[in-house]
Amino acid sequence: MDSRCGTLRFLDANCGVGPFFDPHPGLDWSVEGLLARMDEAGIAESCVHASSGVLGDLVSANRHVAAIARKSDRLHPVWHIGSHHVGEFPAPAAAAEPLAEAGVRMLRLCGGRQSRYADLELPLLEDLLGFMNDRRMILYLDWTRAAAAPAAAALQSLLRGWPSVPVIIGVAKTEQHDRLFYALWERFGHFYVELSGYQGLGVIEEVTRRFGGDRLVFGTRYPQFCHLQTVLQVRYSHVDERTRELVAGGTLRRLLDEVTL
Amino acid sequence: MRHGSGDRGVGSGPERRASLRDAALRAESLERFGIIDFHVHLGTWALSYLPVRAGDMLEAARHVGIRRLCINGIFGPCIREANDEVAAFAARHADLVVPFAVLNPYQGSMTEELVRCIREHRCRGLKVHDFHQGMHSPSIREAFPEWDEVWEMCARAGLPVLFHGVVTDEDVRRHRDTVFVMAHGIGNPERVRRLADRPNLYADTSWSQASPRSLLDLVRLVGPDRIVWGSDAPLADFAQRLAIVLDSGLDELTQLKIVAGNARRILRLEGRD
Repeated sequence: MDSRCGTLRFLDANCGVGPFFDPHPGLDWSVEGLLARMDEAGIAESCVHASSGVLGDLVSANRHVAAIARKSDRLHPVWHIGSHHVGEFPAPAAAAEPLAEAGVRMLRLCGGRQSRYADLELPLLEDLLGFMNDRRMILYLDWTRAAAAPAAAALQSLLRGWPSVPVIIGVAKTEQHDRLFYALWERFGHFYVELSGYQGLGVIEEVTRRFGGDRLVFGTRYPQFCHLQTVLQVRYSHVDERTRELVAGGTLRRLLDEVTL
Repeated sequence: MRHGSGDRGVGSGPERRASLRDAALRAESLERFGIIDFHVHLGTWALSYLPVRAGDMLEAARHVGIRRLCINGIFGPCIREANDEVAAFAARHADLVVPFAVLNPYQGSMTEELVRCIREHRCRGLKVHDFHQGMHSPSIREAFPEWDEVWEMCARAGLPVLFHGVVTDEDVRRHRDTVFVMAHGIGNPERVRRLADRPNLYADTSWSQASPRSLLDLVRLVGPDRIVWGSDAPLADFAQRLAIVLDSGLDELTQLKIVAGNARRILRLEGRD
């Protein structure tokens, strides 16, 4: 590794594990397979959700990922959010124990077409967000399959209403999002963007220069994307080593450490 | 014009971790690999706030070690001015920039503008884009028979046509000596499949949702000799877009065809780099 790399400790905010519908031929979706690919790309740790939970059964997906994460301390389990009203997710009043037992510090809300939630529907999430706010739990908004980001009003209400919930958003691609993101970064210190869909040339340099090094979070969208895509984006970025460390994993590591289950 | 052989190059095994990938993982300059980016724009557009300007883009390309950037001016509303701007930029950075012309049938004779771009600006390719030029396929194609002359002229002059819209399947079939490169072809496998038997049809890799998997699908459709690597910069990061090739599991020779050799061949750059 030359001076542009240092000894980065990548921590992936957006990684799937286990079976899903359209795997790459030959993909090893097991824990062992994931860890091998992480090693090849130089990724130290990953926040993993069960890929099956995106379109499949949420209860079994969350159970599955909790078991998977116990196999390696490099994997941090992430649960998909569902509705406690229909019994697919623990009621907030009773969620602390199963989340703590599973070691879950990040919850993931999939939004957009063919997702559990068509949009950022805050009235349906108020109880859970209150629970998360008390514990500083991280909310990952998975909008990578949606045509557009959640509405600005909904995002602003979320960030205003639950200021202790770090909100990380992943989007499909860069286009049309900067005007929204920049406005939110100016107003809220607990809003973060995950990099796998934020692919524009110079975005790491520009965002870290304007807003500091702790607003972007490394993520890969594996296995839909390969690990190397965002790894190279970060490795080749023109930023100082401290900033690169924050983007690669330092910021997310801090957020995980601040969760109090 | 020499077209691809159709050889399939999907590889695996011990050679799959090649030196190109290793160099990238170390964030070294990749200049020695002669990488050519076939799909780069000059300027800005409405959909994204683009933090980099042209000079920054070149600096970023040099930092990664991209050897050549094929730059077009589709973002410019005035075609003549856009071509002049690209040409001036290419002249200032002749070591790096390969100028591509843009055309628009609503702004005068396309063939005259193309001749000007070839003779005065030494453009080595043509980019056509329906959306940015206010043109809408397929009507824009049908309404202006002059496109046939444009395609013929490109064949005679050895200019590949990088197309996003405008070009029809029939164009690819009828104009056999014209090299047509489907922009974002990696994200349009159905259309690539329809035209896969046409040796003058190429596809580029620029697409925001591209992955090694989509590249392997493309290789299976048209073989490794008719794919050129493109980033779509400044809308995309050079290194991020290179990764789909480097992490594909294709052997290094095939990777080098995609990121360098195929483009060098259709741009007739042999011996220049």
